[in-house]
Formats: sequence, C-alpha cells, structure tokens
Amino acid sequence: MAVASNHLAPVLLTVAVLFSGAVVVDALAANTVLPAAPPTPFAISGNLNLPLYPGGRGPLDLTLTNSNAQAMAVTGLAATVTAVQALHPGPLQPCDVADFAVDQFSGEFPINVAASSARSLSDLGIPTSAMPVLRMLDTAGNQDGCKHATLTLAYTGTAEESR
Amino acid sequence: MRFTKKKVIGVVATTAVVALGAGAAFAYWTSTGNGSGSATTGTSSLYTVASSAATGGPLTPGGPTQTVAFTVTNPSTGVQHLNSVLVTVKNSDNTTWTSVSGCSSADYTVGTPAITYGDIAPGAVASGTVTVTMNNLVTSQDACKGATVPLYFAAS
Repeated sequence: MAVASNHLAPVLLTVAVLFSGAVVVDALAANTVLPAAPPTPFAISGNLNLPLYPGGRGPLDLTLTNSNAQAMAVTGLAATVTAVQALHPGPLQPCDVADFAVDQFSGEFPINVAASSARSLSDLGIPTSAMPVLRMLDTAGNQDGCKHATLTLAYTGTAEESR
Repeated sequence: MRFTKKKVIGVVATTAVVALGAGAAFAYWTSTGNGSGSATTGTSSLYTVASSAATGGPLTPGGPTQTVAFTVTNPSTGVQHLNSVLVTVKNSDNTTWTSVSGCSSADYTVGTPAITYGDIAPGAVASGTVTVTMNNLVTSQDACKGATVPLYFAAS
C-alpha cells in the first residue's frame, strides 16, 4: 500500500502542476493576445448615380469595406443628407436638406462582410428594395432652387468582429 | 504504471486546451463604420404640348368660336409644377405669323386656356382646351378667307 501511495502522489502533483500551469499559460497567452490593435473602423461609401427630381428617389448601393483580418457582422447602417450645395437658392426658391429624405436600410442585420474585403450591398445579395433610399421631396413650394444641386451624404454603421 | 500516468496527463492537457478554445469562440469586438457620398439633382424638362384639330364652326368676323383641345405632358422623371399655358397666334417656332398677306394675329382672339394647374407626375398628362374667335374689324378682312391659323402653346 505504501508503495502504491508513493506512486499516486507524483501523479496528483503532476495534475496540479498542469492545472496551475495551464492557468499561467492562459494568462501569458492573454497577455500576448490582448494588446492587439482594436478593429479598424470599416468604411462605407457610395454615391447616387441618378439625378433626383421632386418626388424622385434612388437606392444607395453602399459599399462596406472591411480592412481587418477578421470577418465582421454589420449590425447597424444609417445614411443622412448633411449638406446641399444649390446653384440658385434664394428667399423664394430655397433648397436645403429639408428638401430631401432618406429611407434607411430595411433589410436584415447582420450583414456579413468577409475579412479584408469590400462588398457592395448588391454584391452581398441584398435586394434594391432593402437598400437605403434617397428621396427628393415634392413639397408644396417652388423647388427650382434645387436644380443642379449637389448633396453631401454621410454614412455611419456599427459592426461586430470575431476574435 | 508509467504508461498509465502518461494517459492521465494527456487527458488533463486536452481538457485545458478545449476549455481555452471554447472561451475564445465567443469573444468579439465591436467596431464602427463611417463614410461619405454624394448625389445630384437634375433640372426641369420642357413640357411636351400637343393639340387636336379645332372643333366648331369656321372662323368668320364676329362669328362662331372654335375650340382646340390640347395636352401638356411632363416628360421628366420627377414631378413638375405647371404654372401657366399661354396660347397665341404664331408660327410653330414662336415667330410672327406672316404667311398670309393682309391677315395677322390681330384678326383673331385666343381665349384663356382652360386647364387645371398644379403638379404633374412624371410622364403624366394634363388636358385643357382653348378657344379662338375671329375679330370683326372695321377694315376688310378678306385676306383671312380660308386661312389656316397657327397656334403656339407655351407651357411653363
């Protein structure tokens, strides 16, 4: 029995060392991995290639660029009209962001984008009907001031990246 | 017995690795995205106006009225607001009608077009009518006998 006990003790000791060793290794690994740079914000781009008219609209086939080495799941996407550069605005013919509106993305989240890739919404199989839509409102007033205007659009989004 | 001990160590080590792997699978970082773009607006398109043949009695000095039906089409892809339609006796290029010597636009009166003004949807049509009468002047108007009087429509 004494012999048997002596044989068992080293085994238990080894197990304990392994467990504690695993914890240490885990901590070391964590210390090694955690300082990695946080994900680079992804880029959103896209223009409306059709001219807008009062009552007109056009889909924004935005491109999502994931420059990180991990795939990302886009969980939010928004577009806004931030400025309007009108050629002939005036007191009787004003033209500003109030003449326009955006219907936001109506598809399902998340939108998965592979690592180190740039994909348009259409590339990702998202139908035009679900894309953000930029509209020019048909107001009750004279909108001649909006002829040949240039709109500036801003895009924001959120995503999760696996680690 | 040593062989057995090695087996135990192997099991413990494998368990530790699996546990570490499972922990990593649920980790993620959140990120944000941003960017910019542009869009442009178009401009208005010229209305297309078409008229039908006049109806009513032939024009004679102080005589019956003729009515001309016309349509105004918005060829744009956007809504356009029709503010006015002006009809005059002129050539189709908006020049003065002089083809019948001794007869001019002064011999006729074009009424105010009857049409509903307002927004016209893309590709839609607004319909209206306009009347024409021949004035009864104190001078001879024989030159206007049998004349075909051109009408010029200006829609804006």
